[in-house]
Amino acid sequence: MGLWRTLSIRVRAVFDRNALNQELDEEVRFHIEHETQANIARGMKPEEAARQARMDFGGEQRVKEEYRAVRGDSFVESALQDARFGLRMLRRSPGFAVVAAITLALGLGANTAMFSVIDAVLLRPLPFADPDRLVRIIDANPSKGFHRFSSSPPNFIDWRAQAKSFTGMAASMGGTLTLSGSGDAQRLNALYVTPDFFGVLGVDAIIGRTFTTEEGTYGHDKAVILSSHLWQQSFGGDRNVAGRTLKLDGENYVVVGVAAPKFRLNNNDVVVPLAFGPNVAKQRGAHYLSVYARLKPGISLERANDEMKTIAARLAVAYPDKDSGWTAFVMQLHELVVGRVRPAMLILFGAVGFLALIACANVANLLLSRAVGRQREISVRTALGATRSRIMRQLLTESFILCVSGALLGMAIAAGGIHLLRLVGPINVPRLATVQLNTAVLAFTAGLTLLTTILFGILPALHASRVDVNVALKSAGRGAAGSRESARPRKLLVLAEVSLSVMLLTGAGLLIRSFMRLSFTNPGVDTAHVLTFNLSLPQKKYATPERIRDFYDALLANLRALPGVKDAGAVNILPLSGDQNSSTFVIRGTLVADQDQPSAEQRVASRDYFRTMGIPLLRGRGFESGDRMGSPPVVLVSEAMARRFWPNGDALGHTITMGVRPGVSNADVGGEIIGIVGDVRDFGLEIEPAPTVYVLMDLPGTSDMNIVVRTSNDPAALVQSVRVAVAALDADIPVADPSPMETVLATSLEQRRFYMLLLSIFAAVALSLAGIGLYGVISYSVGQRTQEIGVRMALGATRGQVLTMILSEGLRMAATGIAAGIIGALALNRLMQGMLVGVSTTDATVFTVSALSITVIALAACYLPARRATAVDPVIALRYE
Amino acid sequence: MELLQGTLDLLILKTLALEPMHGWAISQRLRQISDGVLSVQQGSLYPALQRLELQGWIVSEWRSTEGNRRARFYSLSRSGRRRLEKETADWQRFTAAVQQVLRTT
Repeated sequence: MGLWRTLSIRVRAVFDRNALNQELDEEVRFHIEHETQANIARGMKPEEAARQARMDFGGEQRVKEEYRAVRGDSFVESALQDARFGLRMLRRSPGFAVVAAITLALGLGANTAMFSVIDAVLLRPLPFADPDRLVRIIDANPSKGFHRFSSSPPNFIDWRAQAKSFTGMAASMGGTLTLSGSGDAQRLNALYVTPDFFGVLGVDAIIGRTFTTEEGTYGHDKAVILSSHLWQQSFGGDRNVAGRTLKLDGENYVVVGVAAPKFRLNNNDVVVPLAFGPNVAKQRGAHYLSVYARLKPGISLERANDEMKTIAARLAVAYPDKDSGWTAFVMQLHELVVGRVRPAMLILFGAVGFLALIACANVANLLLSRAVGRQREISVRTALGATRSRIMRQLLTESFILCVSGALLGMAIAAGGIHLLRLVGPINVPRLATVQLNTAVLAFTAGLTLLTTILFGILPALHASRVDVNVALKSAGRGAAGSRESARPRKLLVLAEVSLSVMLLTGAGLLIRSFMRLSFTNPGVDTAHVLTFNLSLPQKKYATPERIRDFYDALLANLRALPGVKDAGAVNILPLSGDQNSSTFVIRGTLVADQDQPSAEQRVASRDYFRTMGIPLLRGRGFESGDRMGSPPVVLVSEAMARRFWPNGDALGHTITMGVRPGVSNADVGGEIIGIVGDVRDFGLEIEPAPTVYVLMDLPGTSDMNIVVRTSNDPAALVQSVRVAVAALDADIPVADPSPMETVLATSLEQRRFYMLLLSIFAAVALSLAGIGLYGVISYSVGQRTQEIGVRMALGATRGQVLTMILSEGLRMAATGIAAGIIGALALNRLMQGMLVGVSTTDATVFTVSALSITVIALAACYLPARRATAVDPVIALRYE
Repeated sequence: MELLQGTLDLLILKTLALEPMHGWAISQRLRQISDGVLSVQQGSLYPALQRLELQGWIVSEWRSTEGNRRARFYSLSRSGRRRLEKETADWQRFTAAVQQVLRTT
């Protein structure tokens, strides 16, 4: 109660000053009036009574001062005074104030935006219960070069039965399902999961329930859980949706629930049970499951890892034909999600930290110059009795005002930047879409602001308040006294700025060069004028290879008949899409043990796929119409494949057999090699083309295909007619992901472009800040040396000589900074190794160009003040002596 | 006679122990009771009141006087009452001690 009253009075003292003062006035007036009345009653004359009352009361003003001192608003008041004075001083030099505030805003804004990204992408825990204990169990076969691989169902079942480190283990796989029966057919991303999946992840259904154990058994698995996204979008958030029946791939599924919004792995629209069929035991070599598990309390990651390795080794002995060479390891789920992007993110964060340092150095510099320029004002105030701490406080208040305005502006920049990042950011950086300006980031910025204030507020303040009053007053405020000493910290700051800028510039340069190199890399396909889209035929309706073949043959023929279309083809995996499908194979006539079989990428393609995509036929012949079901099976191989396995150039005529693949009814595919086609950089421009085998799509009957259409016009304009052509054949098949091949290519480069763009922006800002810093120091130095320049010119120095003198002062500083920066860059850029392709971290071109651009900026920054120096009139300059 | 340092607070608390009153009334009461011996610079009453209120020993509110004017009335809080008891005891111990010294020398 007492504390509360005290607080409320103190708070009122700050915010309600006027009201409190009025109350005091009223009280005093009341008192004096009463006293006067009393005096009159005692027999005094009215004037006499009033005078006596005032005298008895004492000094009214003093009483009020004392009263306010008790109330404790003197500190606030003098702080307000400082602030008002500070604002007035800043208004008097708006150029300084604006440059300083914008500089700070850029530094703080970029930092806040980047920290928001780091927080959302790297730091925030996964949205599952107790996420630290969630792990993935990953297969690996180092001898075959598979360092992270999916798992096979029998292995998963054995793991789950044998492992003791986990409270639960569940598996999932991605797939697609076609929703039909109401309106247009809709292609859905499906996640197939074992029933305990939700339990392992610790997610619940928001409506209905998750799967029962029974729904995880073969034959009872026609249940579906909607993602909350799909539930909102296609079911209008109907709370009674549980129990409804959906037609998925032509079969009836009962909706049992709606998943919590955070449960959206692989962008799934629906979750369906993953039920292993009766012949699951035969699938030991089919690796297509992602395995999730939750560590038991008290079990470390290492212990779980050891146990999984032991189990995998045991299985490798038990099933040598399929499991030898395979091992398994445990990885934290969070690490798996963000581990890939962490290095790049940290590098960007480091870069933006540099930027903030540069900004702070710049503002410190500006304030130093200003403090030196105000030495006379400060000496006068010291001479008049201002204490050192009072002057320090005044100067700190000024920096604080700058900081706060910089921070506010910076928040605006950050908010804009984050908005932009979410718009242009690559989709393959996890969780980038969830970036927002959050409280952690706000706290971070506040801390940064405070740090900046102390950092660059104290330094000039210390400097300025150490002024020797006598010297400063005598030197009439412009002499050389003290300027040499005060120039050193400013030069050091500019030096630091220049060298940090060099480091950022080389970093950005390396990324740009690496990106350019990639952009000029031939992907192996001609991406211009090609439209791609994806079709998935429902298995029930298209159950045989013949039906699938007939559908695609008819579709491709119809597409070719469309106006403007030159060619059309089909392939199961689109180049540069990031998907892969590796398979072991045997070359007929050679004998190798199962586990030593070589592997190659396998593609299923139509006859005209190669012509449509511009993949050249190098030797032999392509697929022809005579290659059909029933005729001798044939395959095409890529150049890399031919060179790797038949280095003597005699690949043609050999026969190969590919291993088992999941989702394909025929166990074995393969045939005689009839031709060699050009390499395609399937996994990204930076990755060497993998050995690839193409089999004709008629043979294995693949229901899920990507159609490629080459047109003479804009491929995007073709989408509508493509939809019509597909619907004409089967209205229940949706056209998924239509996009020009150029977009697919651009998407594969998106992440690199993003990093390059960010670092380039940082470098450009750094460069301009360093320029401003140099400009500030040189023009201040010119101002200080006005008399000296006047003397020199009076003694016969030409304008050219003066110009050279000033320019060389600036360039000397820049050169030292550049040298230091290059040394720093050589050391630091090694961290960027992983982000670069085909460019060494010490690339001479990049370093030269960076150094040159800084030099040009330095020249420009020094030229203006140098010009001003040559304009000095010796007569006027000398008059000051 | 000038007031001893710190005694003004005690006098105000004692005065307010009778009934709530406004500043002027407090000053009148002090003058009357001490028979004019203790002269309080009337203005210094107000900072003291403010200090006592901040300590939580007195509370104030704006009320009407009999003459229908607005005035700030001060009254003793519960903790003020305790404070008064303690200060009174202290004061009595203090004066007793001083008297003891005066008597014996």
